[in-house]
Amino acid sequence: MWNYIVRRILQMIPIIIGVSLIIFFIITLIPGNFIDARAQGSHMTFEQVNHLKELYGVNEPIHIKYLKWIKGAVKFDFGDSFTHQAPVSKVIDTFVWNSFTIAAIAFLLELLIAIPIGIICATRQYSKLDYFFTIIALVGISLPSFFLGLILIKFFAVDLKILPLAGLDTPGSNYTGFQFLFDRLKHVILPAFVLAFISIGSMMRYTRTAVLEIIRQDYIRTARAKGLSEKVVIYKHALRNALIPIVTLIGLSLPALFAGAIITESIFGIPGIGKIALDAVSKRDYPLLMGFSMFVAVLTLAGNLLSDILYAIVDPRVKLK
Amino acid sequence: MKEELLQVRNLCTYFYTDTGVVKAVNDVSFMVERGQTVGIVGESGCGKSVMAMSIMRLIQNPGKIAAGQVLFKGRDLAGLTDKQIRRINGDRISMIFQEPMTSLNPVFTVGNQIAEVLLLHRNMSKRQARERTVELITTVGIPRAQGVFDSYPHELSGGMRQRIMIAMALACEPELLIADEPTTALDVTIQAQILELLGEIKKQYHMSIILITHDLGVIAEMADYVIVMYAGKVVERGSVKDVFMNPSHPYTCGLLKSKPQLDMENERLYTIPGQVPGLIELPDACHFYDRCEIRSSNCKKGFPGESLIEGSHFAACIKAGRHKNE
Repeated sequence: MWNYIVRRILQMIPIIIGVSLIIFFIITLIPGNFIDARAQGSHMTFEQVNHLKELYGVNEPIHIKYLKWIKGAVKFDFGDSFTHQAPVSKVIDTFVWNSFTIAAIAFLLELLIAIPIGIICATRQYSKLDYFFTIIALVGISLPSFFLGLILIKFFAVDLKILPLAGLDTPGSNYTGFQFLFDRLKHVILPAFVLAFISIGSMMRYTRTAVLEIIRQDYIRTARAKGLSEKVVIYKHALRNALIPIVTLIGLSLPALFAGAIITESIFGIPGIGKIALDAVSKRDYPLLMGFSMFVAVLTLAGNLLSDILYAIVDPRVKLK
Repeated sequence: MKEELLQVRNLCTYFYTDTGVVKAVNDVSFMVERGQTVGIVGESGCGKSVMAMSIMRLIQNPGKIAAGQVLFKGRDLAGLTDKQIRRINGDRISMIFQEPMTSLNPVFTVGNQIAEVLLLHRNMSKRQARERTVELITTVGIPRAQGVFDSYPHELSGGMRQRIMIAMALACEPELLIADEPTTALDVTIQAQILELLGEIKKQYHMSIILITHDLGVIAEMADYVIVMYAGKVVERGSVKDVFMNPSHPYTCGLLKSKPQLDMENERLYTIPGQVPGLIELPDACHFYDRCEIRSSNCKKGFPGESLIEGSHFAACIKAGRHKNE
């Protein structure tokens, strides 16, 4: 097992180098740069612009730029963000946890709601309940997050006034401890619900399909023939098998937890990493954009590895060698 | 004195599908005595397995026991609540299935799957259950039982898995063991071993066995009493000796004729002409009519009732017992 993990991590190195090349060259080859973008319409002289370009190393040949960048990247130093005037890793660290809080709560909600409902739908296939949840799932899949978000804001924040409009904390408040948590929760609940609701549908249908396939297996009949109650048959014998494909999905959603949700974050005015990354694109803050892309790439690889490890843990037929 | 263990009376199991009602088991009656082995033979799709699963109430939607009684020691299993039948299943009646490859849950160790039955029905502690399970694994002829306890099904061969299934079925020393084609998926040498094991166990625990198979050789070797099923109906039943020596239904005759024999040379095996009829909307006639070699116009007047040949030997044919001499 440990051998396998170490080998997989070593295998990631060439992949990451490849990814870094692609990210770096695509972004560097985009016409225009930060200095020109800032200089347009301002009163900077030609000399000042050139001086700044010199300072930021804009005019250096591309391979030198790459080597400089990758040299820093190995030490988690992705340079300084132009717009935030701070190291990229620090910028990511500041904003990513806001996104993570919401995404993690949404993900937990998704699992806690989608898996039980999926099981219920499978055990009562074609019942009214099954059709009802199928419709809800379809609604969730097809509803755009900005629409659902705005409706919820209108209802809970504007009409009922029980939840805040936007942001992560009440402005001007200086809560600590439990009060702070409660305030944060009130702000986070709507965006988390929106994120959960739009993804519950697919997870639920996935669970339903997995359970439906399992409960037709011979070993489920064996379990019933033993005299086990329907609860034990479904929640022990069937679920344990149905969870195998679901658990691998959980590993693969690791990057999604950290990548931020651009639209939902914008609607709810949350200073999350998704919004920051989008701003970086429009303001041509390339160091931040590259650093963030690398961050997501590494997380994707880690998610794949995690999912393979989880697979081996839940399925005794899989041996990692 | 012979003691009646199971009596199936006019059992009907129907599947209510979109295309119509499938009468998989249609008015079947028979009896199993304590310590007796009853063989059930018939082609694929004749209702053997559904019949067996009906006894244990394992029929899932859209199937249903539509009528009839399954009296086990005088108690009608068909009328019990789900909770009551669960206390009998796995304890007093247990079942082994055709496919040892897929009948064990792949994510639990085989030891745990056997011990589960003991924990459920015998209130044993985990340690007692483990000890008893190791004993059971030894009983069914697997060496290194301690090591096998912690194996997963995929680590064992087909024969071993079927032995594990048998150990699981034996765990609570049931009075009735239903073996649904226990050897069909195994190769011939393993088949012989498994049959031998079943024979030994039957003697040791003084169980009754319902043995479902399409292999007449297995019936001849193992069973005391035989039931021949065709299209959801019992067409002939009697002691093995009576049925094999004096087959009285044309279907049974056909089955026996199509058995390969060693002294037969350069001859094609006999086949019963035609196909098994579909079980939806069977005509009100003898179901075997289309394939029968001795049919007559009278055979179209409803499905014939059972007529007594001799002793406990019955056949559902209006010409039963007579056609051989004609």
